[in-house]
Parts: sequence; structure tokens; C-alpha cells
Amino acid sequence: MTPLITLAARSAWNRRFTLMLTVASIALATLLLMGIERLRTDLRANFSSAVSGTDLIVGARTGSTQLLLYSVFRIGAATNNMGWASVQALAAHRAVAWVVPISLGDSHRGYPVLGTSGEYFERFRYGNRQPLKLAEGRAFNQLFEAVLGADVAEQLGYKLGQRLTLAHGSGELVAEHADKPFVVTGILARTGTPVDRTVHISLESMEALHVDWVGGVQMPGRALTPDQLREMNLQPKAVTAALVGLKSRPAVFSVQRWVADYRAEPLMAILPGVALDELWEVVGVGEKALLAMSVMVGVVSLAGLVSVVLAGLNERRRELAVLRAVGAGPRHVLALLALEGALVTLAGALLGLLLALGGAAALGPWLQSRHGLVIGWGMPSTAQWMLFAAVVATGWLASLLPALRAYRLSLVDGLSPRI
Amino acid sequence: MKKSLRTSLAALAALAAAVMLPTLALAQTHAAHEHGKVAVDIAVEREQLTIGIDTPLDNLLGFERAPRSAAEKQAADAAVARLRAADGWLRIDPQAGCQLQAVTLESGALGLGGAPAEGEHADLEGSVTYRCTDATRAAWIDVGLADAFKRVKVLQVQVAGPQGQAKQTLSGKNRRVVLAK
Repeated sequence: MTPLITLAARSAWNRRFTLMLTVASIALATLLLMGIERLRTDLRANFSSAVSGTDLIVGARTGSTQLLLYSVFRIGAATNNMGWASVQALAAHRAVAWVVPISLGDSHRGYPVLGTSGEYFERFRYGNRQPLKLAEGRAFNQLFEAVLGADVAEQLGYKLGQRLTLAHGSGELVAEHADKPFVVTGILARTGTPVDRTVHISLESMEALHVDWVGGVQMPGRALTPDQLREMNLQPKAVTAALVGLKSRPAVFSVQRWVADYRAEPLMAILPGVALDELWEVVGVGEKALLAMSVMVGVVSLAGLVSVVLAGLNERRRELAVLRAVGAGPRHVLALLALEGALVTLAGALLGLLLALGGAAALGPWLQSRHGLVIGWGMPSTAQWMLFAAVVATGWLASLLPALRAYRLSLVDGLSPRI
Repeated sequence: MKKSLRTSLAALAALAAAVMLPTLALAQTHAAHEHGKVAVDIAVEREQLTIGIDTPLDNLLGFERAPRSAAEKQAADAAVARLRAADGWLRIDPQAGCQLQAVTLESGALGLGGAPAEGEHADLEGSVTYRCTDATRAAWIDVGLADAFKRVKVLQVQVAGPQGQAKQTLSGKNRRVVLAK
């Protein structure tokens, strides 16, 4: 067998340029397949880990996916707010253990600002029910104090004690709350969730920012000083949504119905895990389309492999005939071509795998800091190995096609093939 | 690149909104009423398994108002009896060691308590409770409502268990709610 491998290697080296192109195209197809699979699974893991330990999210009546997207992922916007009286009624429900109201809408240099209660830092869980941890400083406990997510602090280079001003709204044209600066009192440890990209302030601070604003602009001559604001009742009149924890799990559906039937205002309660599954039902269609496209790229690459080998076959008929003349049987010729096909496919697939791993490692930090997406670059998952095996197996089978033709030709060809 | 990714996310959100809004806004309200469809809520705790159902009466009887004739009354009684015998249409992974404890049914139209029937679209709500040695060991529950009631076509299942929350849709021959992820 060893002489056969040596022969295959030398023959391949002779045609190295064409074969390298084939290897490159198989590598790109593998990279695409593996990359999409990794992005798909990591994106799902990221989304799934963004909230845990919250039994229900309650907000104004809308679609469950919208409520989940804006309350947890800060994507999109609320159609309506939820009255403070409703938050209190919810907190008073006998099955409810805790309620953490959240208020969104303002931003700081592109990062969303979240108004919430101090209980948020104790109750909020992510990943596998992990609590939030402060990497530095402390949570806010009075007006105009802010706790930053890890990405906000890192990207903007903020330290404890630094002053910052928040912007009204989150669009391109935003007005600054420049007269009411905040001071950074805490920086949260990294979570790999939207929390990292959020500026947290108290609900009272959020209210204080907007007391002297009407219709999205500050009333001229009505500006209040921070000291005047501290004297005022700053209980919010409305919030965006509320995270709810229950005393017992079976109550989740009865509280959900209670919220749906709540008479004072139209509200809805979603189970975050259920809403996430609904989101995947929609996203799944796009994922399948992406996967189908990369499978098509794979097929095109393998078709390239077959055509390159087939095109080279005519040129190699003399080489194969010489081999036959020196004693190689048709089976040897078949084995030679099958071995070459297997090696080319394997080399391409391995190169693609390395590119996928390297790409994830190289792009990982950028994706995390810019988009909050944590990409793992460790060992490939089972699904990725299966895709890898599928590429290698299909590539090898595709290379058998020209090998079979060569096998037939080598039987009929003499030393003077009719070219 | 950053902008295009943001645009994609926004487009994704918009797509989700457009596709989900009409169905989910209904699915989440108490009074969702769609013939052929039953909402099933499963809550798993260590010693207790609770299965709630919410269905239009049409799925069970072929009409959805108070029975008017003797035949309709008989059909309603038979449907209620079949639901009460929950072991006939619910099968729980034996690993959990569950015993049927209670079945409560509410339907104003059938005189089973609950809100009085309004108009011609009455519902039935039910709750089945099991006592278990360890319900968290249950890997599956078979909900055979579509076998017991031929007009039931789709089950929209919400699960809240120790492994988190999930949604499943059962249709066709599929009866199995998978609890273990």
C-alpha cells in the first residue's frame, strides 16, 4: 500500500495548483457550514441565557415576542407603558414573591438606560440561575447614581466616580439631560447578556430626569436643580414592564390568566422561556434558509472537485496506462484515485474547520464588544462534527465518480490511448 | 458592517412582530377561542404535577352552548365523564410515580361553575392534579385529547418545570409532550 500512497502523493504534487484550488473551495464550503452552525447554536445559547429565574414578564398588551425582545434584549420599543398602580396590584397578588419593575427609553452614547429598583441586582438571574455580581463599587442607592454593564465601562473607558449625562430617547436625534449628571457607583461583572451593554439607574432617577420635561423637550424656565428634585415625590407613574418571581411554579399559569383578565388596563404576562421558543419558530425559517444556502455552496464545491478530477482524467490516461503496463491492476488505479479524492476532501474539510475555529477566536472579542454576542471557539459540537463528517463522506463519494470512470478506461486503454 | 447587523436585528424584530402579533396576542389572552385548538399548561414540581386545559366546548361536543335536547345533555355528560377519568387521556412517564389526585372542570354553559356562558362560544377549563414521588423525573407526558375528542386537532402546550419553560405544539399523530430537554 505504501508505494501506492507515494505514487498518489507524487501524482497529486504534479497537479498541485488545481488540487489546491479544489482544497480551498472545499475549505470555504466547510467554513460556511461550520460557521453558520456555530453562530446558530451560540446565538440561541446567548438568547437563552439572557434571563432565567424570572417566572413571568408583565407589560402592556402586545405580542409575546415583542415584550420579550424589548424588556430583555432591548430590541424594538414598547407600544405602551404599564401603570404604577398595576405594578403594585401585581406585587400584592398572593402568589407573587417579588416584582422588579423596569423602565426603558433613554440612552447613553448608544447604550440603553434601564431604570429599575435596587432589588434588580438581587433578583435578576442569567445563564444557569447565576446572580449579577458587582466587579467594582456598589449598587445605586440615591438619585443620579449609575451602575454600568461590563461592556459599557470597557468600551467607554469609564471608572468609578466618573460623571456622565444621559440622553433623552435612543434615536439619532437625542437631547441630553445635561443639567442632571450621573455618577458611576458600580460596574457589573461580565455576564455575556444584554446586561453588559446597559446603564442601570433607579426608577426615581429616571423619573427625576423627566419631571421638568414635557412632550420630549425640557420646559424653558422650569428646570429643577438636583436638590429640588430630592425633595419631590419621585414615584414613577408608569414603567415599561415588570419581571415577576412567584412563590410556587404551578401558580405561573393562574397568574398569567389573572394578568390577562386584569380590568384596570390591558396587560399581558409571558413566560420568558415560552416566548423564546416562539421566537425560534420565526427565526428557525431564516436559519434553515441559511443552512440550505451553505449546503448549496458545499454541493457546488464538490461538483468542482468532480469536474477537476474528471477534466484531469483525460490528461492522466497515459499516466494510468503506464501504471497498468508496469503491473498495476485496475483495482490499484481505482484505489489510487479514491485515495486522492479522500485526501483532497479531508485536507479541504480540515482547513475549513481550522478557519472556522480561528475565525471564531479572532472575531469573538469584536462580536462580544460590539454586539454582545458571545461566540465559543472551543471544540466543535456534535452537530459540527456531523457536518464535518458529512462533507468528508460526500466529498469522497463524489471523487469516486471519476475514479470509477478511470477504472473502466484503464481496462480498455492501451499504451496509446485515443486522445 | 455594524449598521448592517443592527439593521438585520431590527428586521428580525419587525419580522417577529409581523408574524407573531396576530396569533400570539390571542394565544396569551385567557379567552383565546379557536376551534380544534386546546391550550394545555403543564407545571412540574417535585411532588405535584398540574395539567391545565382551556378549550372551546365545540372541540368536546360539536356545539358550544348549554345543551338543549336530551341527546345533547347525554353527550355533554359523557364528555365531562371522559375528562374526569383523566387517566384515560393522560399518560405520565412511570419514572415519576404519579397518582391522579383531583380533576376540576369549569364551564358555565355546562353548569360546572365558572363564568356564565356568554353568547354561542362557550369554553371549558380544566385542571388535573397528580401526586408524584418525584415529578421532576418525568421525561414525557402523553396528552391524548385528540384521541378522546375527534374535533381536537392541535394542542398548544406551555411547560413550566425545573428545567425551565418551553412551548410545544402537538398535532397530527403526535401526543407526546417532552419534558426533559
